Amino acid sequence: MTDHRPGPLLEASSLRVTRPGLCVCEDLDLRIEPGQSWTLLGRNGVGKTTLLHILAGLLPPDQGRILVEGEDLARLSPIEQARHRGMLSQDDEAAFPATVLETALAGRFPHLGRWGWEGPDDIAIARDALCQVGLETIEQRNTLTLSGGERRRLGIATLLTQRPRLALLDEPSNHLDPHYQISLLGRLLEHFTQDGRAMLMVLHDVNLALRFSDHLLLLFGDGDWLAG
Amino acid sequence: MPTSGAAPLSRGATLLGMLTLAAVASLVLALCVGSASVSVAEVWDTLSGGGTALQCTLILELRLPRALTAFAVGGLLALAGALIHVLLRNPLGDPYVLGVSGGAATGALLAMLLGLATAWVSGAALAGALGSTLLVLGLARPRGQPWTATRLLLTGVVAASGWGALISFILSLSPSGRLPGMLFWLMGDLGDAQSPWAVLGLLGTGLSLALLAAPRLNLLARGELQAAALGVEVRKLRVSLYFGCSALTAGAVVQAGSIGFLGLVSPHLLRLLGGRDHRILLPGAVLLGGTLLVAADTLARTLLAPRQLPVGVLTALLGVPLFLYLLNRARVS
Repeated sequence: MTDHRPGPLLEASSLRVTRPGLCVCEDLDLRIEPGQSWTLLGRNGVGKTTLLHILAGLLPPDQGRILVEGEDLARLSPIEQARHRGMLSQDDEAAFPATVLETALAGRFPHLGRWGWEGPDDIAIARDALCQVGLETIEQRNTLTLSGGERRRLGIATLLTQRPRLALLDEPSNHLDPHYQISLLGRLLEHFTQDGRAMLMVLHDVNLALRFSDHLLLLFGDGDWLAG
Repeated sequence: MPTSGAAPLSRGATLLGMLTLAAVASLVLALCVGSASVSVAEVWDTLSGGGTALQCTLILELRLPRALTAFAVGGLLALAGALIHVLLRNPLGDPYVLGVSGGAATGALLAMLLGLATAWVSGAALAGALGSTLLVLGLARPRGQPWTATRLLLTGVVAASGWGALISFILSLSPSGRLPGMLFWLMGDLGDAQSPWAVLGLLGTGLSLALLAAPRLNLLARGELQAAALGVEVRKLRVSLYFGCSALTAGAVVQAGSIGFLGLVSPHLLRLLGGRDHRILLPGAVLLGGTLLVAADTLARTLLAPRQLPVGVLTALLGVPLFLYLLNRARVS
């Protein structure tokens, strides 16, 4: 989906999200415009990941609605959602061997036809993404032998391969040493604030948040929130 | 290990081509070898309409149906194994882990205990397999709760143990005259293979549907959350996987009893041979599982001829060293 439609990349209105014994947010309004970089902050267990999954359309909210570029998120098919937004989840859950390149190529899935064979273009996109995270020399390694930080970078490469308009990242700096935290978040910021794209990430480090985002969404754990 | 990831299709095609050759070779061997040996040329003659009356009976009515049935059953078990690995996201998954074969065995042995005819035994096995499938699914999915792989695995394992106890109970009640038949059924036996078409049809349908889902299976094997984020309808896919695995396993078990080991090991063998992508893994596992079972069955009926061994014993005897060898080789490289 390369055509540029008017309206914010994501617009949540009157969103209410609860979990047993927890009110994540009440009456949340949020507009993510192209070019913006948001950070979602809050203490542990406040429901940041839950909210991220709801904004990604993987779970329904208790109340309220989410529009992506003017269309109701809940009405889009999973594939259409996946062409619009990408998500980096907190942990890698791979259970079977696959090479680094094969794993990055998974990001092309929403863009392929029924049989899903990747063409040379898709492989070029995946290789380019691996270069950006510094994994190009080990593209044939088995992912089960990678370190935590390498897996994190591979997850980011898969997201870059997916080329979504909106990137939702759950703790992208996990497992990364300080050098990679700075350089990779810089890469992500550069990539996802260009060409009408935007990003929203969950971070724990306020310094990183201030350095790599221009908007903040704070969750306080009692349903209160603050955005801007 | 191949150095380029740029041509998964051609690399996969080579692997599948070699496995097809192995499958054809095993089938030809199964037609040639036995109480009366037949040469390859005579087999070809008979298949193309010539041959003596004796050869026609021997090959077309006895060996061919049995070999094709063995191939289909091996393929069914291997396909079910490959799918169950994705469903449970656990490399120890096995088509029997969900209790399908336990249910089928309980039904079949009960029918044998009552002295019912073969058709009834198959019917009872099918009923047991279906009953077990629905029971495990119902218990693993309490209302309002999500369906996790761990919960499904635990429910299946516990159900399988329950069936195991029932099987022992039935065996201990049975008159000694019926015990050998029951034990053969439990170990897996292709002795009364008459028409291979039902299992071959099930295998063809199952493989076609599974291939359509193969790109989604690749993603699901890597993680549920990532698969969902990339546009896979995870819940729907898992329910179809569950019923698909159960149907494939039930088909194999009803036809040939509980032949162990193939379902667990064929998908792993394919991964060790380089077929990690499910678009290659699924047809490859079917070919390999079929080939192994045809080879094992040929050995089972010739090794101690005229005595026939239960084929389930030989699948493990053939498969264990092959698997350990490949596993060891992979670790070195």
